[in-house]
Amino acid sequence: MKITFPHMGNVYMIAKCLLDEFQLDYVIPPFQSKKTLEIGTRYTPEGACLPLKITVGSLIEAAELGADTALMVGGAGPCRFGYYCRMQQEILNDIGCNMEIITLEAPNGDAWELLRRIKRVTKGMNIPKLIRVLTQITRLSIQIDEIEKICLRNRSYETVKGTTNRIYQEFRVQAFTTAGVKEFKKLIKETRSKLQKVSLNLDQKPLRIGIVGEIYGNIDPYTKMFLEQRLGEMGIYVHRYVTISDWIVEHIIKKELRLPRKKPYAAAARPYLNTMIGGHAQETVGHTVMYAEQDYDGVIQIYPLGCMPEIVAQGILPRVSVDLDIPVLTLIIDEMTGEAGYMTRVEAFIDLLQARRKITLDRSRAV
Amino acid sequence: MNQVVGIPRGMFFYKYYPLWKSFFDNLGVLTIVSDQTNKQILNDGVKHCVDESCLPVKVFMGHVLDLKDRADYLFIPRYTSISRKEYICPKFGGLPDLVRCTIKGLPPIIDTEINMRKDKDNSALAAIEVGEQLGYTLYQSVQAYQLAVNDYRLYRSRVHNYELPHRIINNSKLTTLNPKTLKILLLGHVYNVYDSCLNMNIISKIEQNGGQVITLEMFDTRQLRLLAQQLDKPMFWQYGTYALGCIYSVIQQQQVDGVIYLSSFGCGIDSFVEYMAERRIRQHTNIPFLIISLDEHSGEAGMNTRLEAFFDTLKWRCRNENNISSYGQCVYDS
Repeated sequence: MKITFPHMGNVYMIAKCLLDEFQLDYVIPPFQSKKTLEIGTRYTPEGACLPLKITVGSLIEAAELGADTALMVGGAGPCRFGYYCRMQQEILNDIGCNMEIITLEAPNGDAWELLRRIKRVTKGMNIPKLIRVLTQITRLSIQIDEIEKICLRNRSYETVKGTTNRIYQEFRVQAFTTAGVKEFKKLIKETRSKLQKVSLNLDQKPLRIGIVGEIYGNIDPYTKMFLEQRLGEMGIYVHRYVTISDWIVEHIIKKELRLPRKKPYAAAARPYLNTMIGGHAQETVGHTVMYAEQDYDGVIQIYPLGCMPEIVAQGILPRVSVDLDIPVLTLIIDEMTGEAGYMTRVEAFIDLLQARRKITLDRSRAV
Repeated sequence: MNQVVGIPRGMFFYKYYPLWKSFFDNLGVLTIVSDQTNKQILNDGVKHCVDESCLPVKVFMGHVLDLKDRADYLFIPRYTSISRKEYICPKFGGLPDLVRCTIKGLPPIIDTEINMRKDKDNSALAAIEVGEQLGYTLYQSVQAYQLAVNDYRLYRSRVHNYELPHRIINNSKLTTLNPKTLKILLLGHVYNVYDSCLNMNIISKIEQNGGQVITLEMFDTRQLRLLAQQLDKPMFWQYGTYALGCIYSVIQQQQVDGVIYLSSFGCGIDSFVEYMAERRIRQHTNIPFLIISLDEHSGEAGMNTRLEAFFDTLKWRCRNENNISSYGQCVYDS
């Protein structure tokens, strides 16, 4: 059994550690590229959302490398993501790709079934070890997100543009060859110290932009066309609340264990969207409100075409934008998206924000 | 105190209108329904809605605009779930918010949440809440709701007897006397199938071509659920469960001659259900299957051509069956 899993941002690092700890045979699909998307688009229904297309492409690429079992997470929310596992299975069957997809979820709350599935993957059951490894990788995911956070901050302040990006890319590539939690911690430590040594010019006051939207488009650098890196290179401070560790801790662990969850966004979104409607709609609206309260210069919403909850959020955001006086740009991505067109729009948005800042500055001086 | 409650003729209108109409009637509340979808409503809706949303939501916006100045209240309940452990499209959950944030100068919206995911009696609680907002006591609301449920059951049984919901509600008549020889399963969301303007009169067109329309609402839901258990993972959308139940029923009993799937562009649920349905029909049967996607740019002529072609295939199948011509001979007599 050769295991694989679809890409989603830095999830591969966490999954890799998990599989390494259990000494399982696995392959990581190559980073997503245009080819991945092309393969995925060919076999998936055209109306399906972008993450399905990319993950299917990713799985097929992994199959070419010899993988025969794929791990996925499930769900039973109103969002389509919960049904990805079955769609992927049927699509792969149709094209004669011999791959079985094991969904790591408890169907109808049946925890035993989940354990049975884990047992099949890990060959044998060692619950204390499982719990230990799970806590370790959860902690790891938090550390990885910290690295990302440092990167986001560094990029906008660094004196030599591109230094942070180089370190970050190195980190992503090295992660491929690092095995086990211990090694990984070392790598993270090294990367962190490298990042902290990057010389920064803290005198400047960069524009501050918050990124909101659907999780796959938010987390995965390929899907969002490396927007954060590019904005960073333009000297803009980027922030986003949606992260992998947040997803693992809040949406998977706390939800399954029925622990109280932190939901600052829900309170913020209340006047506009009062209920959880699935996906990240409430987060999108709530975070936009939070950014406005923290005096961010603007918000960019990113989501894949046809994402149902985000459409509702997109309809609500103009009102938020008017009420709280914060510019919002919506970027919708699909397989047809041309990069240049998007960057033009982003640059125009940035120009607007700069002009806005100048006007408010002049006004405050005049007063 | 003559309050007028406006009910937009969109989304779940053709599913639940008889229930709420009867509820408001029993309470003595005047109701007003927006006009049947027309070009004006469609255009208004498209203008006032996010571009990315699907056609039914845009049409719904048009209906709200149509009612805006005529009603004291707008009745847009927040449907989160209408069956146990299942959801519906997330857009329903955010519909009242979407309407409120897009259209200015609206009368107050009654946006009681209906969530039967955990508790199937939630709809009664919702009714009580609606009554409360309009100033009625608990007793009045409960009584009105009980009567309404009876009326709703009556309506459902009429639909089960192959009466089409939009004909019952709009009092419209059959427009053609052509003999109906072919049974067609028209699968799709209620708001696509029964809105005659939105789907360019597809039901009448099928009837003109000699088809008898069967829709999802005419099936026994308990049976559909049972059939849908064949799925490896249960669909968590009510519509998905029922639609695939229909497909399994067709595969098992072969009671229809053709299946037409009506979807709207950008519908998330359709994109998955349509794929699963098509795959199953093609794998297990040889019943012809046609997908029609609707959006606001739909050209009627294009749809007519496709429908006619589909019916030609069906009719040829009936006539020729497996009568394959030997070399040099024509299958047709003339």
